[in-house]
Amino acid sequence: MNLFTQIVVTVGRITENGVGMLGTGFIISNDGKIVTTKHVVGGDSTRLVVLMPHIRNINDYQDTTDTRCQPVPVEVLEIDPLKDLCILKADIQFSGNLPTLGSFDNVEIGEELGIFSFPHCVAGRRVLTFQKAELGAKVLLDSSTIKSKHGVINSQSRPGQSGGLIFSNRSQQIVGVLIGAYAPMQGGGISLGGINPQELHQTTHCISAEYISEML
Amino acid sequence: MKEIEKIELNEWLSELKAYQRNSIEALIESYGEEEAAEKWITSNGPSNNVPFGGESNRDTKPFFERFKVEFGKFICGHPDYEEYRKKLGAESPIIKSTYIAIISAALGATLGFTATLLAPAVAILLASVGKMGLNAYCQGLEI
Repeated sequence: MNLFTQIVVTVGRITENGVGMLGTGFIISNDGKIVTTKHVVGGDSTRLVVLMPHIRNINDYQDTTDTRCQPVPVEVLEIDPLKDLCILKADIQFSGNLPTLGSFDNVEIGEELGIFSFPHCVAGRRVLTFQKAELGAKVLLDSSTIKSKHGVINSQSRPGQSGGLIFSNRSQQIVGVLIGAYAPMQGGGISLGGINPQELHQTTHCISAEYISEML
Repeated sequence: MKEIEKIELNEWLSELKAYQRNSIEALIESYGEEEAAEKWITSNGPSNNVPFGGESNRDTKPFFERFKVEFGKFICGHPDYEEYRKKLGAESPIIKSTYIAIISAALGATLGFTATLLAPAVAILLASVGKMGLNAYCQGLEI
């Protein structure tokens, strides 16, 4: 479990006021490649950083008042805007053993999965959080007629969790990347205090990790 | 620059990474070349999905128009891109991957977008220039 405190990172951008946190990412190669989503970085590759781990043990208390951080510059290596994936590269070396990449193909409906991410980091709160949820469905989602495999996990997510790592304890593989939640775009909808009520439900979309391999 | 007229679309696409090429070929089949380029660089991922991170969404349609304008300026001799074109001028015969990389980097620097996102769209537009002929492509463009 403590491995994830070292490989799951916050992605951010340097601003006039410090680092603005954008979402979650995770180290996927020993030479410093990091997976996140395209929407976390947007199209702008300037002033992007990842924040190096702030705890070693998942059981440590994370001090939410401690705003110190160790940003490391990253460049954008690859972007797939249709699948909403992005590969970043930091000038770091990770010496440990990393989990391999799997796929939702090998996950049974009902299997419990682990989620590691930074919920609410876009609001300035940096707390590496572990959640567990079952895989509730496997779906094909469309992006301009290109369909890709996703898992629907039975857990609610909040801003900052995009790019989160989805892990199968059974296979010891990374099986997905958290990308968001279903919310129908037609009809305009309403916003209550900046929150779209349609996204407040107990499921989350995660893209299958198999698509990462072809970008590395 | 006239040399690009001899290069077909599939030759440009062969320079892309497999994950880019596969999607671009499918998009071209569904939408045609220019719309495929637009779909690629303005996509925000799967439909009916609310993202949980990043900055507020950009207005992507005007971005594609600006992208095409800057591409035209590059290809048709605007002084803003003279230094980049000099780098291409040294390439004979054309090294297609270098063309895509340099043009994507130049446009990315102007537009504030990452070059790797723009590369597939640049490949498609280069093929369009080849198909039309450089003079015909540049005729009527206000650069």
